[in-house]
Amino acid sequence: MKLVMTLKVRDEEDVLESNLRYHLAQGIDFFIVTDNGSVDRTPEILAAYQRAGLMHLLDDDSPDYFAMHGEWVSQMARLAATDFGADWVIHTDADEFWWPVGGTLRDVFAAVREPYGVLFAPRPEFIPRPDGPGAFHQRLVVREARSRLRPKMAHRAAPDVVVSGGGHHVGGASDEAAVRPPGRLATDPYSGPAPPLRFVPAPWWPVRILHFPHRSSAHFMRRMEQYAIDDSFPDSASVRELRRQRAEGRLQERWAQLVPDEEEVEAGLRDGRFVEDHSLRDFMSGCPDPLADGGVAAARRYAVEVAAAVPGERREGELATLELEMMEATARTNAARQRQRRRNRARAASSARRLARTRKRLEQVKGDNRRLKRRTDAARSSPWRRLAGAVSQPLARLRHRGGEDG
Amino acid sequence: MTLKVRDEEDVLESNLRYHRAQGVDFFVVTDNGSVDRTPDILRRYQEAGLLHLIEEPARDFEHRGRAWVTRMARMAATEFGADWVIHADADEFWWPVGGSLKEIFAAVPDPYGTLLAPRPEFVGRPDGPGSFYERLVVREARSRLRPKIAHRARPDVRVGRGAHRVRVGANPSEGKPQPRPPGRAVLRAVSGEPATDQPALVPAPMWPARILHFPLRSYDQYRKRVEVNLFGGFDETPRRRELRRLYEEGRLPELYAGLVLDDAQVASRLREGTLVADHSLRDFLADCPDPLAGDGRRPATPQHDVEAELAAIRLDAMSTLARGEELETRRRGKRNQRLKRLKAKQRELREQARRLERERNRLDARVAALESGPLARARAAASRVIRGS
Repeated sequence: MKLVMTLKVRDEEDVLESNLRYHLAQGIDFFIVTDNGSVDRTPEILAAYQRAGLMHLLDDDSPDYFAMHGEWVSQMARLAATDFGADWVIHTDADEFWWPVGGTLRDVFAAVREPYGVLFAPRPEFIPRPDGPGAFHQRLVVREARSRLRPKMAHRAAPDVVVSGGGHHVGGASDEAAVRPPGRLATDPYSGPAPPLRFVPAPWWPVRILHFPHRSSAHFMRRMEQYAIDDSFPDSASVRELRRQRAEGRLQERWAQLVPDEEEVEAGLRDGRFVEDHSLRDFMSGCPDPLADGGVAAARRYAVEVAAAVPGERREGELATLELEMMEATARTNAARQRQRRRNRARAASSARRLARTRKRLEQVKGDNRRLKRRTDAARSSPWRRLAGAVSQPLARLRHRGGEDG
Repeated sequence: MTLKVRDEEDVLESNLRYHRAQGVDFFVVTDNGSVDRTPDILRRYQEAGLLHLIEEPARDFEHRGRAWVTRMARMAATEFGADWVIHADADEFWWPVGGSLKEIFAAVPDPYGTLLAPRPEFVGRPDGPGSFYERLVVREARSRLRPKIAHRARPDVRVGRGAHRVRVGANPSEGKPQPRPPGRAVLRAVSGEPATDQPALVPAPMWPARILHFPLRSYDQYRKRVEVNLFGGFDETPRRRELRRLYEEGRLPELYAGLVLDDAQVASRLREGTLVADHSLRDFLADCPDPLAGDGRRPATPQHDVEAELAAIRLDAMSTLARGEELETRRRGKRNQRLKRLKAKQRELREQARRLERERNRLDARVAALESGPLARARAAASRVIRGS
């Protein structure tokens, strides 16, 4: 079984090496990475993995990050199938760590039975903390108890997949017949059984994605700058707000607002909003560098030991929490989607109304113009006018000639 | 359990008897103007104190169906002390695996609030003697229709017309906080807001029931269903127009014959595995006494192959969910495109309107010039004189 992970990165020097090391230890065989014009140490880190034969690197420094990322992710997913013999393709960002429950990441994917082909994972965020010494995983050890973002997914490899930019959804180009719902029997003939779907999500969720979006004020400021200047981002209220704050030089203030103080963290831990989670810190503290001699094997052995050390009852509890998290995320997504559908419908309706108004206005103006034209013609063709024309033309000619003479 | 019925005499009694035996405590039913024996059947259960009947004889199910289902669901919570509300049609039988219906609902852990059930169809068979459940014992191996839901009772639910979806207070006018994805972390102003937006009615990660669905039961029933469909006040669609044409040409029997599978077709599809034999409802009902007359005895739900059955339903549920998801993604794409097209058209028309308006201004000026020049004034004066004389 071959696990291929795809990443799109931009200036990720503070997390990238940890990310690659961690996932390699967990059993990822190969990385496909799109570097979107990094200017920090990111290319160096990538080059080291590339030299070791563990990575395929695509460079695309096009400025349209937002417009392009769906295309990049789909392209990487297809490459994983066609060029790198992947069985599973896992989509992630540099600040996301796929944490398996019950074995290593490799064990977890090996346990997914056919015909299931998609594994979803909830994605709780670690809470930002004030700057300090040490790597992000040493400083950030408190996270949301339950994730609120959309889950991400991994899927079985296929040469024709279409993956959404965020890695939240996978579809196949050829599944049209499988997704079309049959009509009602009273009005539509029986169309036979539906062809099986290719990407059926597994009904179990043995992975949590540990997500570190806020790591330091420096990282935050850099990211904000990118967001503020990138025109390809949709012009949402939050982006406008961000640009305003940047123009007013208030980004630092924004970071300060984002970081909860000790008291808030304590309160969150007490009321169950937050939980302590040292799993990544502990894992990274002893994880051998896979690029050293014999490193990959050592790192894999290490991951197996770590997984085996987790007591069984803790595993059960974790799995139950993940299940709930996933189901809540589903409910949240459904609610958001219904809202979005209503909003879109309203937008389409008002668009249609506007269109109808414009059409009416158009007709009105056309009518006006026709009337005006008739009036012009009438005025022109009246006997008075003809007389005037008869008189004025020779007069004009005379005047014209006079002008030439002068 | 809530039901919306219209002329269901051939299934309704079985449906109520079955679900009552499975542990349903009470029925809330909206009768949409039945003219067959349906009202008699309902009345019997009503008189036994097991059913609340709402009559909506108007032919506007298509537009008010959602309101009817929502009203029944809310009533179950506010007036009939329901813990769970199960939505069904008269031809749908919630078949539990691993216990009675009551037991499987009791086993749903607390944080979860909806239970989703795939809904495979039994295939139509040639007419013959016996009730529908005795004759129809072959169904799709995997369902193609959208699954239906049951949910914990709440006074503020909103249920879709087909009971495929349920939500709580999701109407912005009700001013409740909406659960929503918080958006990109970097763009968010404040992190770790209190969890006031916990989603309500979280779907349960378990699928211990399938809905046995019998949409095609006999020619007679099919003809009635088509008539309801054609003359029941539904919006006209191209499909409905086509059906109306066939109906008026007297080709309904032919159409029905095309829907019904003969023995050879059934045998080959059973071999392929796209259809499976399913006698569960037949066997259950054969042994199920009338709850209004009997000794209160309930047949036990068979307990064989529970694990395999659960695995099959799980796969079915995940497949229908994936299908819904994919469909939704595609529809969203189409909607967005349509919106874009509308906007482009709007821009184009507005541009055209501006051009024409400029033209109008020009014409206006010209007319004014023509009509107010010295000649025009002279003409006007002359015509005044002529008219005056």
